[in-house]
Amino acid sequence: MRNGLTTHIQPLVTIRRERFLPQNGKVLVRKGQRVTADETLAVCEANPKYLLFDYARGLGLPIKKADELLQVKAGQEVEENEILAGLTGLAKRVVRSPAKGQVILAGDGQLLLKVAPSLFELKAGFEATIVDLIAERGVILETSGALLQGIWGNGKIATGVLLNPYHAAEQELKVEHFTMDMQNAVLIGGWISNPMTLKTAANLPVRGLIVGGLEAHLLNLAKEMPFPILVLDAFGSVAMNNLAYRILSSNERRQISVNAWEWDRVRGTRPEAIIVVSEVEKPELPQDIVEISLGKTVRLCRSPYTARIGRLERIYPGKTILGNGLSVNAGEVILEDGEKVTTPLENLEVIL
Amino acid sequence: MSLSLIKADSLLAIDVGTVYTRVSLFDVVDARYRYLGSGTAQSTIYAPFNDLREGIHQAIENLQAITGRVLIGEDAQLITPEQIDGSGVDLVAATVSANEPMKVLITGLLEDISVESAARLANSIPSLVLKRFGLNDHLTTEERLNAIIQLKPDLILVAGGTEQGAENATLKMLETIGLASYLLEADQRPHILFIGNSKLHEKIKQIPVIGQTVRLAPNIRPTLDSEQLQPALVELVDIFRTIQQSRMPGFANLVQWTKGATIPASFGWERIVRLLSKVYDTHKGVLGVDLGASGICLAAGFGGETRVTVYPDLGMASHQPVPLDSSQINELQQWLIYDFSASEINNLIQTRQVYPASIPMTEAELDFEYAYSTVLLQKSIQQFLASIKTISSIGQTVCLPAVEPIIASGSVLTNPSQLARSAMTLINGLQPTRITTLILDQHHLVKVLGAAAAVNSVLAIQAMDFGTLLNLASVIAPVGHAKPGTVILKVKMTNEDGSEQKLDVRYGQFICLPLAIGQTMEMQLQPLHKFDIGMGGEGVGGKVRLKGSALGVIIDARGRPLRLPQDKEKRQELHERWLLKLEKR
Repeated sequence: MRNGLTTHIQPLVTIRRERFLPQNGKVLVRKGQRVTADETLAVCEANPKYLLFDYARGLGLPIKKADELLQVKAGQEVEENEILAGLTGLAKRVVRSPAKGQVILAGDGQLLLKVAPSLFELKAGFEATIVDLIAERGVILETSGALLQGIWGNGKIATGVLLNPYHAAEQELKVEHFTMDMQNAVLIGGWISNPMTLKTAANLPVRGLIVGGLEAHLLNLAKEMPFPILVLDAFGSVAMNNLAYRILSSNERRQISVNAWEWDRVRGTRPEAIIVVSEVEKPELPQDIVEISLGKTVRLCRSPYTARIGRLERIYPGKTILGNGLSVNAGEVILEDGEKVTTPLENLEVIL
Repeated sequence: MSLSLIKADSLLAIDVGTVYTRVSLFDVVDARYRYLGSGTAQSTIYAPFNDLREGIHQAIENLQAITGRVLIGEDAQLITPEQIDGSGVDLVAATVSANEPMKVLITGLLEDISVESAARLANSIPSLVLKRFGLNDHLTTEERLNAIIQLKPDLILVAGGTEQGAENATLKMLETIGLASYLLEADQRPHILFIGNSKLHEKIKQIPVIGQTVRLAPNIRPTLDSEQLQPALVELVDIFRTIQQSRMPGFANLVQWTKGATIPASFGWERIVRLLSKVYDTHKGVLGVDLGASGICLAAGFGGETRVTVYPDLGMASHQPVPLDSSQINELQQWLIYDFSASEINNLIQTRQVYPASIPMTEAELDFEYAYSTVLLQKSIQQFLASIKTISSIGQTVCLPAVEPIIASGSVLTNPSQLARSAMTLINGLQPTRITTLILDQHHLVKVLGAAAAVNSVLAIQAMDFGTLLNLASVIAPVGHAKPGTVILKVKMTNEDGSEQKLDVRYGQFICLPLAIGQTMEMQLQPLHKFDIGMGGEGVGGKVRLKGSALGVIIDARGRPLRLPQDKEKRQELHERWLLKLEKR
């Protein structure tokens, strides 16, 4: 048995996702609640900063004497400029808090202050129902709709109206395709190879880009873009796969959520786009573990068939010698145009 | 050692890698331990499985199908010990190279002394050194405190102070670490390993918060000019196990099955290289190289003294910041036969990261695969040589010193249909000098034999003798300088039947001489023009008996370090010609 890497490209499935805070915090939603894509589900402190004061030195006093002049105690909240140690009065030396915060430790001439931290907000990412809560840590969301998983995302998320500017999966998305009516829309295109395409999209601005391919030399620039960029198929000038293109083009002018976060293999979170379809009978949850077997729809990940989709027709027994001389476990795939190709099984993703 | 003197146990060796999980079976045949077969499956450490047991189970099922031996019972559990009907195994040993590198923060006193030694220790297993604190970094206690809290390391290595050295600075550093630990949530607190002045052990136990949990190991720099990493490495491996148990579902079961004999793959390499460095010619070193998806492991042994380093950023599918700059592109293009644009190179490297198990389907992409491997090997060996200059027997060197043998592992190097490319990659990447033997760990067994050595050392030694390793080629690479075309080595070959051949080797030549497995050949070598072939110095020759191998004898007189033509077409033509010589030997 050989389990395949599974990629979901589905017009209608139940989508269930876990959302976790990076550390313990407060969950703001309740079970059964319907949430919007940009709704905050939970919050926690982000990157607290600690300040260490040598108030004995600040007061110019021996430690014992300085401790007698300590004005705060551990656990106490303090405001900016509040006196931490010392006596007020003319010509008296005092140590003041440089920021709002909380005293963590105080004594022996030293004080540790935790500066009021900023908040990390955990967003839903798509319109969904809260189906479960994980105390102090996160939630489980569920919705029904189209799901398109990608291979790369630039770390941003957004929701917008889906537009298909030139109605072709096998054309490069270029600057000349942009028009003012695409402002704040999520655009789809074949691939991007020119940095000006990204810069123009940012200036328009768009809400997101979904493409089949992206030239890898643009990855750093893509990460700097303020909108999500989701790459569905490959690195390079590669057309969007037909399955994804058909789903996207048939949903034009609908709201789409683009969660272009990085692929986290441990947690299993992948960059993805979701088009919520409400008022339908709850569809099946897609399988995550699937055996590579005959009849499965597969996508090839290496040249000369990068991102081509087909059906696994045969699995050859033993090892097969490829044209380049490599001896591998291989199978025969019939591509969408009818071409039969021999490919290593390692190069196949099961498309569900 | 005769097996009659020891208890003959069968052994199942498990290796969990990032891409593949392999299980191998060893048992006694004809009074010696033999390798019986391997089963492979895709690793299941990542989602949706998130449990390494699934991959192990599948690999064992494949092994059962290959060997016919029943290893899993009806209760779906591993049968142990071995039963009267021959099912099951007595012992299990395992190595793990999968999962993210351990995040390590290093503190010490002097950057070039204790901090550097601690970094070498950290790099003995897959680690990512997040930050180094030293006396001269001018950071305040507050800055150090905030750095620890923000970085949230898995492990803090605290070095510093020779056995007669400073105490206060080290204690102050530990107090800061203690405060940071107090401020972090319980599940985020780092493990702490103290590897400094052992006179501080009692005082450390009194430090609040961490005093009772800090691990203490012998000083890695007992004096300014000596370094001892081995005892601390044992502690480090134990911490590695603890961290993996909390992070990787199924790891605890693996530790249980192996009765603790689960180690990082690099530690397995270290053990075997240490063993071999005692067995082989003590004037030379032994080198092990494992080119994996998630990093390169290099292990070198010189007369029992060993050094192992993992380079997690130099794996075939390791994260590489793209786009590569022009010098990196140029570096890669030096080894390519086919034309690749910078854009194509960036796309391929990125594809390799997303699909680490994928296989090149075209001649050109296969060429790229081996060129990329060459660059990764080259980078790792250069960093490694810089780090082992403290080993007194080597001294500072820009080229690999004489080693015998070089044992290589990793999927890209061990494909049986690409032996010529494997040899070419090892020779170009490592650039061995003088006389050595390239050995392929074709079944990926060396590291697991290192794990097995802890429970059955006889098995580890005997199993390596019998067909588990492939003798790939003998390499003679004279070191010196001459004008191209100058005769630098005179060779007289005497075959087993007594027939003789003579050969003049010219500077710049790459020669392949057939010598099949099972045959031997005596070679009389006489270097000229002060070239060194490792027989006692410049211009010193002698006799050597070479064993047959898959590719025979390679005389690489292209010079060290190897300099390639600037002209792309000339260079590509040369690469093609050298490869053809190996393929049509």
